[in-house]
Amino acid sequence: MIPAFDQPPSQKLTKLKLFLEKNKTDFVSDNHELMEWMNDRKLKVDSLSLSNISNENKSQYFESVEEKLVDQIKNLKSKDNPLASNVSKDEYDSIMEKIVDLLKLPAGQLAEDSELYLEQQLSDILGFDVLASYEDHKLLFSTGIMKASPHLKRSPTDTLEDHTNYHEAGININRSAFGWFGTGGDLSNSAIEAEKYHISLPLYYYHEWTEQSSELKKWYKFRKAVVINPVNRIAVVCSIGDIGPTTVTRKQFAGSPELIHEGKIWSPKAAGRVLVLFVDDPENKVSYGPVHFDKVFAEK
Amino acid sequence: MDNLEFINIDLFKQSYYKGMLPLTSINDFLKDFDSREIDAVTKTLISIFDVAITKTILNNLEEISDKQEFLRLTQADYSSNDIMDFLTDKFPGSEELIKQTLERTLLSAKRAIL
Repeated sequence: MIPAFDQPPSQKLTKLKLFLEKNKTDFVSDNHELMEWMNDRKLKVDSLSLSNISNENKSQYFESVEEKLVDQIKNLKSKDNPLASNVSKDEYDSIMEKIVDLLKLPAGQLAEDSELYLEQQLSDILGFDVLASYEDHKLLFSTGIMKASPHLKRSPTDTLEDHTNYHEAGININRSAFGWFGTGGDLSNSAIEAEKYHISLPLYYYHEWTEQSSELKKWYKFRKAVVINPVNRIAVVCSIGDIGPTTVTRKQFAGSPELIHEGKIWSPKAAGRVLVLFVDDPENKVSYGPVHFDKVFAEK
Repeated sequence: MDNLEFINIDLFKQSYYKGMLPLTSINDFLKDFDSREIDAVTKTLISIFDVAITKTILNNLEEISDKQEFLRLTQADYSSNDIMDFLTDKFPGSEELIKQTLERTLLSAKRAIL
């Protein structure tokens, strides 16, 4: 028998916590002008009552709900609890709605509790691990708007006609800032797929860039990531194939023609808004390309 | 007095709006959960109330300086009567607004767990 303390939360409690998450997102959205001021003061609107409990009583009533939720998620990740893969339809809908709400906010990084929550839930649905931070690297923007970029030259002799689809997108006259996708003129299937589904990240804007540009380039070069379009419920597994855009005030990412089309990134409702996360795939088992959430969820 | 067997009053009394809580309805809400989860549900519900009420009040305070003053007061002591004094001074209908927000939020929470 599982001790009561170790039992997973009931579906009702999980729904209630999702409701809280939704309200928090709405709050941030409605009070954007105050968020920096509140963050400077470490003022968390969802734990005002609970943080008022005296320290003596606090040990009796343990930590705030948010901290407990974060701990639960951390425990689920570390234990690989099989119950964690049991995302209900309602939870799935709530997760997608939460991402849609987050993407309405200005481009930036996710709050830690949202990161942990989304990492766990999305990994669960997708069947592979997705991460907001990886090996001490964190994206400057996890959320933002993705512009469409042309094809990239995969090798010195590559031409637009060598690319299978979307010739109207054109081809960049320069190679990727990371170099050629293929080595010695040979293009493996993996290299072809990596160019086909690639994104550009604005590494020039990273704080570490000035002093560690070569290390950053080496680490990010063709690393696997995933772009989430929650409106159309499509994820696209991709490579980080180039550095850009050159300005980040309006658009924070760029995506290959295949990624933009197949991920429906510029569908009328999505309007370019995406969530980007790293994919933890040390054994290179996760294929590049689109993943339709509804289909994956239906198969579970 | 209604029987409020599921309510942990120590948790609920930490807020400045404690006197406006619809305790009977909250107790009914808590009845729907397994007893082992009551504390976790209570804390989640309190967080939901905190977010909803803070959001409503901020929407009703026009000046950014008033919003910041309200937030400063809540951070200093969330159970202090000074907060209601400040709100009543800024808009007289604040108590009724908080009551309505609590009731509406509880109804939304009920719908969310169905």
